[in-house]
Amino acid sequence: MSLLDNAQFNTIRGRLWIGFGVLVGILLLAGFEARRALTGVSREIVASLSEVESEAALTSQVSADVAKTIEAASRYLDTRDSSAQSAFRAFGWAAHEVQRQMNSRPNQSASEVAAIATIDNKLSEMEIHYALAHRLADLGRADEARVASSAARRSIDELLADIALLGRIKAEKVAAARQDLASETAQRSDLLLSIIGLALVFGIIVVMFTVRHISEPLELLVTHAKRLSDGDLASRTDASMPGEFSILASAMNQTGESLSRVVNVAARTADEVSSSAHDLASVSEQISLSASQMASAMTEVSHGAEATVHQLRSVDETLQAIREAATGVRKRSDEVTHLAQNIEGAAQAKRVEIDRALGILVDVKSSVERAAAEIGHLNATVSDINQFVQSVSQIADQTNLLALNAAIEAARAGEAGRGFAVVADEVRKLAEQSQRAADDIVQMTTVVTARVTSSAKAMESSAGRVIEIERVSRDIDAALHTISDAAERTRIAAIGVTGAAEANASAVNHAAVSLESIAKTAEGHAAAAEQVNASTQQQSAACEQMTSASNVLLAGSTQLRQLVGTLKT
Amino acid sequence: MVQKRIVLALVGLAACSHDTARTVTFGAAGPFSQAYGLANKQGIQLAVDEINASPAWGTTRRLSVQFADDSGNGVRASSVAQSFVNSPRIVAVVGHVNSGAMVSAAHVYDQHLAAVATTATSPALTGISPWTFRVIPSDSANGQTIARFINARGRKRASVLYENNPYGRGLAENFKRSFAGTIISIDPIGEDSAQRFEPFVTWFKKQKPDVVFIAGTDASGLAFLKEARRQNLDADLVGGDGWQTVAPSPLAEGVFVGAPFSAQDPRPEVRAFVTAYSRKFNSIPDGNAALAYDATKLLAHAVEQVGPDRVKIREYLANLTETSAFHGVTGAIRFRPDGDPIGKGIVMTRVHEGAMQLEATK
Repeated sequence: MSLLDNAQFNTIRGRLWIGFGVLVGILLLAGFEARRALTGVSREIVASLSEVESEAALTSQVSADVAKTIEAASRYLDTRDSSAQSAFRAFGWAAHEVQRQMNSRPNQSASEVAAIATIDNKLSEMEIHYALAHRLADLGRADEARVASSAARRSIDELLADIALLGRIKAEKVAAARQDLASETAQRSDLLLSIIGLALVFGIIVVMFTVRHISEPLELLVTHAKRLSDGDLASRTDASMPGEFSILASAMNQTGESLSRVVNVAARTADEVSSSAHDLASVSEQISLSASQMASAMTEVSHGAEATVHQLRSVDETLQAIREAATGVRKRSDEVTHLAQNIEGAAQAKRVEIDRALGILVDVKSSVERAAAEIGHLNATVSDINQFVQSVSQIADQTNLLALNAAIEAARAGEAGRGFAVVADEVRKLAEQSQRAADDIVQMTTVVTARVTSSAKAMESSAGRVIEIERVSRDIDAALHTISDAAERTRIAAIGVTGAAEANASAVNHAAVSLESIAKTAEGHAAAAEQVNASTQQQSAACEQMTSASNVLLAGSTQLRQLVGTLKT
Repeated sequence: MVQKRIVLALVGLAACSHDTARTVTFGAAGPFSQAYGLANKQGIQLAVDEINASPAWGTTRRLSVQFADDSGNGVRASSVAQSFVNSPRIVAVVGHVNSGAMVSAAHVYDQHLAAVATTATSPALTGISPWTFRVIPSDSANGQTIARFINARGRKRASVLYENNPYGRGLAENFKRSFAGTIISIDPIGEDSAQRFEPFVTWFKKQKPDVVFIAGTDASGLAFLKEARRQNLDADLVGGDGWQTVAPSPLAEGVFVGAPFSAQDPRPEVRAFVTAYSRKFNSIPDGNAALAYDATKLLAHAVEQVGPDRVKIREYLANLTETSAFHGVTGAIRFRPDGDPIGKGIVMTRVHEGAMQLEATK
């Protein structure tokens, strides 16, 4: 509610929106209700009417059929015309059928059902009496036929009374439907009227409320505005009023305050301006004087700057020489790098070859060692052979001794031992041959042993030499490695030198550029000094104009002070 | 306090289980003072005895039937129907018996209570309300069957007497439609026995019709037969299902009756029904008894399936199918959407020594 108060309801606009919104809503509601009511009522009227219509049609049909049945039945009695009998039968059946239809209709009250059933019974009864009367008439028994037909007529009276009763029931039903419709319509029109009345009352309230809340604040504000226009800046409006008006009032209040402040400030400013104008005039003369002093100082600055430029140019040339020297250094260090790379490459290549040679040497060494071992084995074999030969020599000696003994014995035996002496002699010869052979072998083994020994010595010396070569090779490899390392370090150092040389060159370049810009600046200074000189002269002229303007200002501020003095604050 | 409430609730439950919950009540309406009405009532009573003795009911529920005599009259029937509708313990109705009564009552039952008419045959009942059904075929079927039977017997000239009520008019109308020969007269008669048939029979003696078809019930039927026998009327006398109760009379010897049921049917369930009925009532059951018996058992079966709920019973009856059809002594029972039975017809019989003998259709 407070939100509504503040945001919506407190402004004329908000009140109008809300008021007219509600009004339109109520009117729409009334419209919808009117439409709904009209549609509903008309639908009900149509439904009721069609129901009443068809019920009325059925009721009148029953009456008509019954009447025709009675008419045909009496006609047959008079005329014995077979068409009358057919009509009697057909209308009777039609009446029963209509009653069946009435019975099947929805919304039949118990009294209606009962009335229809009674009519049906009475009609049946009447038909039975007439059928009997007809057959009696056919048989020529006219008196009996009359009795039967008079019984039928009694039924007719009751039947007509029942039909009338049904008619009344239907009429009551229609009246009830009419009553329902009327009360329904009245109810809806009452509702409609009350909605419209509500809308009307609400509209009047909204209008009165709005008018009252516009005119009162408006009068207050008009008074305020008049006082403002009369120059009464102290006038204020503080009454409570709707949003827009209170905004306007506070704006007018603020305007008054602002104008008061402006007037005060203006008066003070006018005073200040007039005194400032006096000061300004004297200051501008001083400026004029100092400007001419400044002009001559600037001329000197200009000269100094030119001299500086000359000196800077000579420094630049020196830097140029340094730059060239640095370039030379760089070239040479590049060459050193290149050389170091070559050396490193060559050393690596050599190291590879030496590695290969070392491999071969190792193979040779192992072959020599194997040969030395074989010679060792050979020496052992030769001494075995010598031992064997000594045993052969001993056997040969003993065999020779035996053979000698045998020859002696044989000689002692005489003739009998002659053959044996031959054998002994042969044995002796054999021993001698064995001795010779043994001697030959000894001789040969001596030669072999001597050769083996010399071979072994040769082997030892070659093995020693191989080891020597290997050692030297490894020394060379180490030396090459050292060279390679050194070359690498040299190359890196040379790259460092190149870098340093480049850095140096760029530093020099920077220096040259800086020098250039300094020189330019100095030139600029010189030019600026010239300009300053020129503007100082212009300033002198401006100062003179200022002096005359401050005189005009002085006159204006005096007029303003007089004007402000007339306003009330 | 809580305990007291529980005790009260238990007492309430116990009371319910004795009176309302366990006893299922059907309404039954018909002209029970008439012979065919009595046959209906006895068929219902036999069904109730058997249902209460069956294991499905014996322990859980009891069936009771509230009989109300409507005199076969539409006005009485609609007020009886209204009292059934207003009584909440009645869950379904067996009846009514007469066409005219059922036509009036159907409007009252509509949207409230399912009613299964026993012998109401009027075509006017077809589609009259989704809440009413009947276990007998409509007159349009019965009149047609009788007419064809007479055609087959070679009879050319027919006179028709009809009870001037929806049953008689409906049956006569449909007979007329299917009869191939000439109808020389068609006259309305009353339903009671105290009426004069002499002028009609005298007229028939003069006009000599081959066949006289009487669309009516037993009281008027016996009065007519008495007069016909007195004058020795020499014509085939034919009645519809309304004449089944005429059969035991000696006057009915040789009369043709179109009936929805024959007590001579050899099917075992028919044999058992005929035996039980004869033992209980000392008479042979006719179609009235058999149809009322079937209608009662059908409704009891519905209660077994869906419980004693008016709406559910109606839905159950409306949704019986060829496979779920109820098998009664008058055949399998299920309904068309208009409430008429599917696949039921009548058989032609001839009365011999008080019994309806099946007559072969020629």
